[in-house]
Amino acid sequence: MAESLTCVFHRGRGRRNLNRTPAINRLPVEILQEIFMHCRTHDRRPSRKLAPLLLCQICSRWREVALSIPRLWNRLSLDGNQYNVLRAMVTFINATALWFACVGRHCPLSYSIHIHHEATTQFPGWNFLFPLPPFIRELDLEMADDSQLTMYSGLQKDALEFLEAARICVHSENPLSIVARRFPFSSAPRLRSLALDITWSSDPFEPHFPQMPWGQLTCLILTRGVPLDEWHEIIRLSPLLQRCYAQIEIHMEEESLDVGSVTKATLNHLEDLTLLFYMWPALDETLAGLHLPALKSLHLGCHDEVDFELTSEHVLPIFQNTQLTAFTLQQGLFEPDLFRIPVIMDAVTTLDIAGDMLYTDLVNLLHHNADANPVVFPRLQHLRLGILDYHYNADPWSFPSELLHNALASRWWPDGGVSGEYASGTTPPGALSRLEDVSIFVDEKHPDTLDEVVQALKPLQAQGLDIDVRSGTRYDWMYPQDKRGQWRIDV
Amino acid sequence: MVLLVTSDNEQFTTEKDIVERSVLIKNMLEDVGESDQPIPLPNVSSSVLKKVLEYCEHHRGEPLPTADSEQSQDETRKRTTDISEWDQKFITVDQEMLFEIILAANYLDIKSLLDVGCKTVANMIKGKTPEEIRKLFNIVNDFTPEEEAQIKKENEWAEDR
Repeated sequence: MAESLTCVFHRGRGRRNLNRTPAINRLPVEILQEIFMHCRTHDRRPSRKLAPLLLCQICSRWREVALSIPRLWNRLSLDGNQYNVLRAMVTFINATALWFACVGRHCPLSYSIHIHHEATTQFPGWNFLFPLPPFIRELDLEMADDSQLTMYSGLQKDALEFLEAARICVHSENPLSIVARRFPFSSAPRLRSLALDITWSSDPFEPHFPQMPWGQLTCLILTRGVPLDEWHEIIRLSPLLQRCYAQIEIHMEEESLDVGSVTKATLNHLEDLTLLFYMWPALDETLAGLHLPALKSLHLGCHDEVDFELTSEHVLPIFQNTQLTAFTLQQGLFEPDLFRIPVIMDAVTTLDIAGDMLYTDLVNLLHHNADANPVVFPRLQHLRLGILDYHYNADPWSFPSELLHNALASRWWPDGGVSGEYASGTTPPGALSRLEDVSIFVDEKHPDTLDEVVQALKPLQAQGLDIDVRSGTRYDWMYPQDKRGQWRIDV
Repeated sequence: MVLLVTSDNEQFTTEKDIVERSVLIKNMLEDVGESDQPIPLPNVSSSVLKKVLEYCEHHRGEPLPTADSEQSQDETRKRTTDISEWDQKFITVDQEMLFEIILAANYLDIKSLLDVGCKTVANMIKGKTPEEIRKLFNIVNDFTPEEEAQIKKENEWAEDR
């Protein structure tokens, strides 16, 4: 098909005069190229109604220009789940033929392949997807079962020379998943960012992680429960990590890890760490032996109502030896420990806190009291508050909106206002940073609370405080998409 | 003050910090040094220059993109077709003027104005059918019926959403 496209492309050149009249076709090619680049949308799936295919249907000049811009074709997402198997095959074959022909060898490609769930049984020969083109810089590979991947015998021989970022997702819960044990390609020397969404299981007969390029990674996203022993092994094999997001799997009934036996490790570059737990946040076991001197942002989350025990033996040293400025705590219970850790209290500029808690206690603590000693969160500039639920109060469910207003007013004063006068009508102490922005997330189960918060904060918003109040599902809050998408690079 | 002379021989006197949003003029002024010599702009008509100066005056004082920032913002810029409210009003002109402004921004090397122009045209294209696009820009469909059929066949596999 690429050949026939080239054919039209050349014939179009001889007929340009027909299009000379329209003002848009008097624009030089480089400007038309610029316009076409702006026509791209976030949707990476090929569509006749979207660029680049849309632009190829207008006239011969537009077709010629569109086909000549490799960057216009450098993102391709194919989702086999949307079609029947045959249709998916036709789509995959045609799209890759066209895209790969246009993108050119020297233009980086972002390539997403989501293979049909029924594909394994109905059409096992997905070999036409392989070998992957060597100019891929970002690869998002999602499949029902990794037999789809391993069926291609050449895979282990394929070197992805330009690959910088990859996500590999296998839906099946096959405990003998190949991807969980070894990197599916022979090499990827430039790979720095890896997201694995797979079932983890320990097989004593298989060596762990041969060929996995842990040692070269700067970003690692593990989005399905990683067993604690695998976590400790991986983190110690990855000394260059700068960002890490991990959902840790811990079963209370299982024998807990002997934290005294783990080897000590220092991750000198790790600045951004997200640890999510499902039932029991075994933070002590997860952080045991780790020294994280570069840590600036720590995000802790748990699905259930729990206490993280931030002051426990292996957790407290983490805080004491970092430069933490952003701290997120998503959990069930109000965390009184948080206010007993001076390192967090003194340095944090961004606080993100949510849970099923006694919000009155939290909001009262955030309320700046001029006589307070020490000042609670004196450098706080960015506050994100998640209002998820409120189990401990009997009906009616209520949230202390007015108290929240007063707390925010105690930490904010308008620009150019009377010197030394701020929203609460008193004088801010020199040591207190002014709030820059406030973001409030309300569980969509509580629309009344959303309205109530919006109304309560209106006066501060009118005075100029940057406030964003929105609702959503608890899931949106618990598993932040922006963090899970951090493996991506700018292609 | 700087004196500019357009293709239709009209003269515009304007302040240096306004006109220096054009990299072309900025470089010319640096090359000639302090001088009262008028700067000829043979590729820009008076009606277009008037609009361009209106844009430059509104955005005076804003930092000019450096080579580094341009490179880092390049992809981000291309992913959004957001245009500020003032720029949107400013660029609400007839098609002929829109393309003239784009050409002038390109010639005068005013990256931000070129961006606004290109994004505006892209927004006009998005969401339309091929026929609507041809009609909007007065483009003749120069594909032969055979080619048209071939294109249709080539795209059959693609989604229609």
